[in-house]
Formats: sequence, C-alpha cells, structure tokens
Amino acid sequence: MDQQQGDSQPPQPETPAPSSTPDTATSSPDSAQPPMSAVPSTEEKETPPPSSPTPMSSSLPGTGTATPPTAPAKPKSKMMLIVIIIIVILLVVVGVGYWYMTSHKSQPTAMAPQAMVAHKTTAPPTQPTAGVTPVTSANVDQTLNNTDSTMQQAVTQANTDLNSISNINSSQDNTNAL
Amino acid sequence: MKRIIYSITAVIAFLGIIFAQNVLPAFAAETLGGPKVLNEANRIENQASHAADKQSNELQNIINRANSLISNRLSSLNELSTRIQNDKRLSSSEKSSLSSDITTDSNGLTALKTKIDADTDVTTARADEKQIITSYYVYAVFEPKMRLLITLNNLQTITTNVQVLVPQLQNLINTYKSQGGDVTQLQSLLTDISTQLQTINTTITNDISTVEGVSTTSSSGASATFSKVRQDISQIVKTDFVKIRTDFSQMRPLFKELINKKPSGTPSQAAPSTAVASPSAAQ
Repeated sequence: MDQQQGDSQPPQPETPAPSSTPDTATSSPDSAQPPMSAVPSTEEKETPPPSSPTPMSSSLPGTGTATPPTAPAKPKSKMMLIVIIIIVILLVVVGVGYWYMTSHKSQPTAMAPQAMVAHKTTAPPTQPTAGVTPVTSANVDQTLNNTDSTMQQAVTQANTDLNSISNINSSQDNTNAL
Repeated sequence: MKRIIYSITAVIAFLGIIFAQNVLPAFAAETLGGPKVLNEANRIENQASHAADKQSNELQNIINRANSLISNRLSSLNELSTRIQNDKRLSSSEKSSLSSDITTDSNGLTALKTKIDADTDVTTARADEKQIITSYYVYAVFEPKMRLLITLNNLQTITTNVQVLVPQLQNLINTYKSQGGDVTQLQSLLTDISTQLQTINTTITNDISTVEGVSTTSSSGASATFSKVRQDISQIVKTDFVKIRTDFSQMRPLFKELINKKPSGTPSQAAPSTAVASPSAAQ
C-alpha cells in the first residue's frame, strides 16, 4: 500500500522544507517523519507517535491554508480497483470452474451414445447376412466344391441320425411288464 | 351234629368252586377244540397284517419303478433337446416347434411323477404307472418321431440351398452359350440336378407331413410309418443326393474348360441379376 501510494504520487520535492508544504507532510508517513523531528518540542508532545499512520492530524494544526487534498480519494479508487480486480479474478475463477465442470459432465454424456453406437455397429457381425455371392466363372468351381462337401456332410449326419433311431430300445414302452 | 355236617358241606362247596375255576377251562381247552379256535384267530390276524404289509410294499415298489421310468424318459428327452439346440441346420422356428413338443412331454411326465408319489393305493398307482408309457410312448414313438423330423428338416435345408444354386448355374451356362460355348453337357447335368432336387423336395415334404401326423399317444402304425420314411430317406433322398454330387463333379471340369477357352472377365460380368446366398455360406 505504501509503495503504491509513493509510486502514484507526482514528483514533488520531499526532502527540502518539509514544513512549508503540507502536502508533502501528508503524502506518506515515511516522508512525514523528518518534519516531525524539526518542529518545536511543544508541538512534539501533541503530535501522535511516529508509528501512527495518520499524518493528517499532525499536519493540520500547523498549516491552516492547506487545500483539500486529493490524496484521500486515491486510496478509495485504488481500493475500488483492487475490489474490481478481485471480482474479475473471482469471475474468471468461477468461469473456469464452470467450464471445467461442464466439460467433465459432457464427457460421460458423450461416451454413452458412443457406447450405444459401438454396440449397434457390433450387432451386424453377430448376425451376418448370407453371403451374396453370385456364381461366376471365377467362383463356380469353388461353389460346386463347397456344395458337394455340404451335401456329403448332410448325408453323413442323416446316417448318424438314422442309426440313433435304430438304437432306440422301443421295448421300454411295453406295458406288459407292468 | 348238624353243625358238623354244615361245616363239611361248606368246605366241600368251597373246594368245588376253586376246582371248577382252575381245572375246568384247561379241561375244556384240551377236550373241546380250544387250540383250533385260537390258532384260527391268530392265523386270520396274521393274514390281515401280512396283506397290509404286502400292499404297502407293492405300492412302494410301483412308485419306485414309476420314478425310474420317468427319470429315464426325462433323461432321453433332455438329450433330444440338446441335440435340437445344437443343430446348425434347423431354423429357429423348427427348433422352437420341436423343443415345444419336448417341453410338453417333460412337463407332463414331471406332473405324473408328482401324482404317483402321492398315490395311496395300488390300483391307482398302477394305472398312473401305465400312463407313463401309454400317454407318451417316448421310446416307441416320440423320440423316433423327433429324430426323423430333425433329419428330414436338415435334408430339406440342404435341398433348398442347392435349389438356390440352380438358377445361378443356369445363368452362367446361358452366358457361355451366348458366347458360343458348347454347354450341352452342362445343361443336361443341370437339368438332371433340378429333377433330382424336385424329387427330393417332394419326398421330404410329404414325409415331414406324415411324421408330424403320427400321434404319440398310440403306438399302432407308428412303426410302419417310420420305416417308410426311413426307406424314403435311404432310397430316394440319399440316392438322389449322390446323383447330384456326381453331376457336380462332372460339371466342374466342363466349367473349367469353358473358362479357359473364353477371355478372362467376360463370363463373370454376366452374373445373374438375382444374387442370392451360396449354399456354402448358409452353412
């Protein structure tokens, strides 16, 4: 705060004749200390201790012609500026937080449809459509060969089934033994 | 004197009563047939007890035998159900229809088991035991019927797949013919295949209808029907399948010969417009 005040003040002479210009006395506590030591001892008793950060009270009695300083308004505006900056920072933080939360929420909602789409896309391979393979000169030999093998397998399976029928002991359904 | 006579008389009467109570029953039992009466009573009593025991044992034997009969049939039906579910050529509707029949029988046998287990008299239990056989005929009718239907449906599926192939082969032959190729033999073979398939299809369709009409609650006539269907499968379907396979084996070199004569790519562009699944893909 003090440094900001010192930085913001206009370049005025601070060290020479501190008592002649009340503005310099009120500019900052650091710059007010040298004049305090130069004033008479009677006034020294009335002046507040150097640690007091209120130089206005010490300078007013000695300088009646002092113009209303603009210095009190400067801290207010700086405070306002600081408050505004804090508010802006808070808004930024809130905005970043909101963006972060919304981005985290959007991820699951985005994943769900993707999962559903992925599930739907895997469905067709589980039930593959019959191969649409017209018989051409390129595949006629292979097609006939495959068909021949399929028929052979079917006949073999039919033989097995017929044998299993022959092996059924139908005498178990004879009621004479009961 | 009178007093003495009275006393003696009283003593004699007392002794007489004692004698009569102790000796006369034994005398009567020995001399008037008492043991026979007692033996007869004991015999009747033992007979009644024995009859009750015998009836109880017989009931339990019937129940045990019935449970064994039902258990064997349920096991056979489960095997049949597994066979149907694992079949790769049966359609889902065929599987569903056959499995439904099996489930009906299984549920009926399970309910019958519950009833027999609760039977309390031999006559009812024996009648229920007979129902295990006469209401289902699992071995004489039901299982052969199901297995024949499985076989017939499988053969019908193959026949349909080969029939799908015929028009495609015909289109290919027409293409070669239009390009000046000699397709006389190919056409003859394909015509024979088509004829065989028609015969097979008709036979299988009729046999399926016949087998489906066989009642499982009667064993009469089922055996003859099954024999006829098995004969059809062996003598018609399988024989015609062999002919078709022979035709295929003769067609392959003929097609190769035509392909080698023609410039590459020309016949393949004349693919049939009705593109259908090849039989191999359907397996």
